[in-house]
Amino acid sequence: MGGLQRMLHGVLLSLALLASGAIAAEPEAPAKKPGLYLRKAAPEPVPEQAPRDETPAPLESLFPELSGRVVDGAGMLGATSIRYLTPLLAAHEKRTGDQVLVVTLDSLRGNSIEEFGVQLGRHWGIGQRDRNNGVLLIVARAERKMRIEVGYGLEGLLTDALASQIIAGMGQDFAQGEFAQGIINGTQAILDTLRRPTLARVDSYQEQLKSERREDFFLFGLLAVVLGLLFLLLRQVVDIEFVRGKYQPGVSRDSSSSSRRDNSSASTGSYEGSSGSAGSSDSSDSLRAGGGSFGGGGASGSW
Amino acid sequence: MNITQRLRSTWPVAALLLLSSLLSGCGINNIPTLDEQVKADWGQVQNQYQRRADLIPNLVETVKGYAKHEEDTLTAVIEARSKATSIQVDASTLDNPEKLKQFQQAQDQLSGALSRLMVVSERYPDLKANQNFLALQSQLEGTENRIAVARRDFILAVQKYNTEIRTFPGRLWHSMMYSDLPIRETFEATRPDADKAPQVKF
Repeated sequence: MGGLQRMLHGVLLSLALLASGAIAAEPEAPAKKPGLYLRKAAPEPVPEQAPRDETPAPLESLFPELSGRVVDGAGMLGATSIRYLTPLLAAHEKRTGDQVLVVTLDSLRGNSIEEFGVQLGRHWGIGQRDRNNGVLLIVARAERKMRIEVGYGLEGLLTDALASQIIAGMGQDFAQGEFAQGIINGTQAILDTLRRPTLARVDSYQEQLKSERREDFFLFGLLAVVLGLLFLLLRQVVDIEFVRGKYQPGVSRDSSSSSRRDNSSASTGSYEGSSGSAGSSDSSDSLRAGGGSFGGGGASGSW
Repeated sequence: MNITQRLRSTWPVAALLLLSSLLSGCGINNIPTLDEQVKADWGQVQNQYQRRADLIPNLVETVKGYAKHEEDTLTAVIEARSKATSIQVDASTLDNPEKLKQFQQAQDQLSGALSRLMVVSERYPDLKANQNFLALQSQLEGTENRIAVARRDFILAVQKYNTEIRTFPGRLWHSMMYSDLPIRETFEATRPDADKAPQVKF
């Protein structure tokens, strides 16, 4: 009977841990299939969620730190321009949810600006995850190349042809050495283009925000109910084994309540973990990359 | 005796729950998940090729108006397009390497014909100043780039899927449950940089 008790213990712990999503390998878990536990320790591939950033190493080494809405790696913008652009971009996001970023860099080091744009956008996760509404305005100084990289969700608004026009306009400023002015004009043009069908989009965005909140609430409730049911079931098993059995009730009460404490701490831990990973990246001037993806839309040009 | 009876009735439920959570945590779902990803990425590839095919009639019409002496190049584009669109592809094409290759060849041929057309267009200043042509040109560039991205994603997805099938423990699950899902072929790089967009330069 002692063996049965130990086994039930193991069942209790591992079931609760697995159900609550904590993946840490538990030494007390039944060692039924060691291979399966081996597998759990490794990070599992989650194709739908992970922004695909398996890029060749040299490209990845080019990605700058996501330090704000204007990442001026090449120093082409003065402090004044950055201070002018940042609130402009922040205000646009507040209004529509679109994340528009300006990136300058010294050199692409042999990469094409198209590939750099897509992979940087995915790496940072610009745009909201389910709307893919990010835009990157990229300028590579050494190659004299620029690109507007448009996320999946905005390809219909900021079409290739419109992006190409904006790039051509910027090229004229750039040709005269007016880099800051060109970037400001270009950014302004991007925002104007995205703002065109304002009302419908702003409404739908606000509506979506609300429904997302409802959805979160619903999911949380569901999680609570499922966990509650599990605890009930487990308690029943434990009670049969320990309370009605020939074993001391005191010990069994202790063990069951301590394992319950384990469960609850495990579940809150996993919840925090998942919400942390969803928030993906750091924030500066309240920029929070939403995990949007890119598919190669936009236009490139040179000067 | 009562105890053991109740235990007996509860035990299977607990075991079932345990088993299902164990299994879903150890990769039994990986192969179908990756398979779906491959299919989704393949859909995206088809989608972008279709987008390119849809652009071509407009482009050809516009160029025709200005470049009257380029009948051969234009005909080559139109023929390559009709050949490429005549190959019916869907998700089942993925399990048919022969057809996949055929599809790829036809699309490559169209890429070649298109880039020749764009080179030829350079000789016509009026055409290059035409707004309609400029718009079409930027759309074509954008679409070529999207094709490159979609192909790259597809190749990565197939690679991931194949790796899962060939390595432990995916290999076990594959032989036990998913033996109907084969190792997949992916695009062959015909050129060293075949998954990069051809540069349409002016």
